Amino acid sequence: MNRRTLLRAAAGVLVLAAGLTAAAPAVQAQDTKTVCVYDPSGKNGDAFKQAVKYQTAAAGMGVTLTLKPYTDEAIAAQDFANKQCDAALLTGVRAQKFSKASYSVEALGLIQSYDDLGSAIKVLSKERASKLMVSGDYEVAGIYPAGAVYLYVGDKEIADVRALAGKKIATLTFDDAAMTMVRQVGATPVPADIGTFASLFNEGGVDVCYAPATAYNPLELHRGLGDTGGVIRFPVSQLTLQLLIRSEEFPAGFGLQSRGWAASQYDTLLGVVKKGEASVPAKHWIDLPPEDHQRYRDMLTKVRGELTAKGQYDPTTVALLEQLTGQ
Amino acid sequence: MLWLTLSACVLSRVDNSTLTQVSPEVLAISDVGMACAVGETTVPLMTAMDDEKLRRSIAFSLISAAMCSEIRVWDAELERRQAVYLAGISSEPATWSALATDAAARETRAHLEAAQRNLWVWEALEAEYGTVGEECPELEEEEQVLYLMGLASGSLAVLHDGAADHALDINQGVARQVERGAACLDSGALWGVPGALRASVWIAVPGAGPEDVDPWVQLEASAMLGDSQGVWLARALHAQAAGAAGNSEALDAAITAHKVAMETGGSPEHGLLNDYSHRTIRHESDRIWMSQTGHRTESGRFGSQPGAELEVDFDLDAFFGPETPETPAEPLMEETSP
Repeated sequence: MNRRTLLRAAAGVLVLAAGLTAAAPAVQAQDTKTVCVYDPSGKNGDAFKQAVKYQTAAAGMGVTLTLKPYTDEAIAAQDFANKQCDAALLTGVRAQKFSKASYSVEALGLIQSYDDLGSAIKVLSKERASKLMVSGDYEVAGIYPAGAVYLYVGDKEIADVRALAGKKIATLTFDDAAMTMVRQVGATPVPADIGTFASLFNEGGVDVCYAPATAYNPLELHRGLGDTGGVIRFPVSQLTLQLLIRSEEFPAGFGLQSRGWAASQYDTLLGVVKKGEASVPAKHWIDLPPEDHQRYRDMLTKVRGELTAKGQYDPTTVALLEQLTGQ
Repeated sequence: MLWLTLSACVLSRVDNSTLTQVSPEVLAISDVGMACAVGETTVPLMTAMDDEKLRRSIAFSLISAAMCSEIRVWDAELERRQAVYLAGISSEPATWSALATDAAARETRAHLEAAQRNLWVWEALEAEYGTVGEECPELEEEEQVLYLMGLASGSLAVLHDGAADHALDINQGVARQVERGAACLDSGALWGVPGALRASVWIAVPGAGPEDVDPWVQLEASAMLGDSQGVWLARALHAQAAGAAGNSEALDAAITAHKVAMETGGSPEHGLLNDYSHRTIRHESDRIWMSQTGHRTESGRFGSQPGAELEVDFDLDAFFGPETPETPAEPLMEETSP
């Protein structure tokens, strides 16, 4: 999935970080914990802005944070794994290396509405769910919404899931779940990365790509849609940002308190997401008939089951969220 | 001296018609800070010109200038509440107590300034249209807004004077005059504000209202009318009355309704009224947040209570069963390092 696209998209709108970063409290080295923050726009992006806000909240929880921006998510994750930082803010697909449970919030076809996503994040922030949020040395200290992921098709005629067979879909190489889905529908994955998928789509190199609606304007995806294409109004998955910590570096109970704070930010961040969705012109949204909806749902349920069985998703979390969302 | 020199220069270039035309336009500025600055600047100029024709324009400018005082009151009040909060959790309460006392002094002074400016508006209103509450004046359409704002200023003058230890000794009966004056205006044509103003007085002044009307119901109905017309002043009165009366249920409802109205968007022709209204309602929210958390309403959390429970309709105990050691979520899968 193209999970970094939202961050890139939002960065085009906001000009914030320099001043905010300068406003970070003075810290003493021995008390400071470092957070590797992935944001494709560095200090100028929405993710970093959220991290600055978190820095203030963490101070109230007794922890002083230093924020370190990364524009390359793989390196941010690697530095976290190598103990170069005590915490990391990453997209869910990268965070899966540290927590399958929190990555499961992004499971294909699992969460279809923002109400359900809010409930999922709140439930997982409860004390009773803490065991799901701890995985070995790592703990999830917050999950933030970053927008539903939609399919962008160059031709509305292929909006039906059956018509995707044989089509070329730009697929991020490090996202196994997306690769599985593409193969499931009989399409051909065309390897792509954050820097190439939009141009592949806009220049006709692929028939389909996927991204949050917030990518529409900044990445000029309207060029690939043209007069014939559209964005299928069906959330394939939910893009999230996830804060991971190395538990031993933080006070007891910090993770739980932090998850609660992150959950309290849900509505604020959802507002940013919804503004992005509102920026897509009505002419480019594709509303599927109920039977087509059901076909997508069936396909994604099947893929999700396979991925859960393979251990890509955490079965307990998936079961919890399926129950929560009435599936 | 510099001020006098500048004033003389400007006066030589600004004639009556300019001020007559420009001052009412201040109400269309969708920025309270800018409008209040314009008001504070133009009132001395217009007063110096000593022209009867400028009376209405002066009233508009005074209304804008009074908004500056209102902002000063709010800021000082929040600083006082913050200092009180911090005194309660700090190891040096005496320090914070001194700061709270200082903020309280500034708050009282700002109240006095606000009372004076609003009183001037009220006096200008009565000079122009006669004693409020006796006979309904004949008002042109464009005059109705000025009259309405003047009534609101009368009400604010009484409130601010009370908060300033009655330094100006403003007649408390002004509140009832305001109520009667508001009855002269068509509430439907003025975004529910006259109705809301009357209901606010009924709530604040015992015995001022009719027995068969619930003022809170009228207040809500008026505010809904205003929201539907894209002008939020009646909603601001709703929130203010609820805050003053300690009616937290009504205040929550007003804040929530305003959050919804903001998403819809306000009328662009009434930018100043809407910005002022929004700031008024936000201040009610800030009061709650400051007292409970030591800071203003958190960015993006307007409409939420501080520390609100993360309520969600899902029974984790039923899902997990009795508290027993369970299999943890699967740790690191395939890759050992990213």
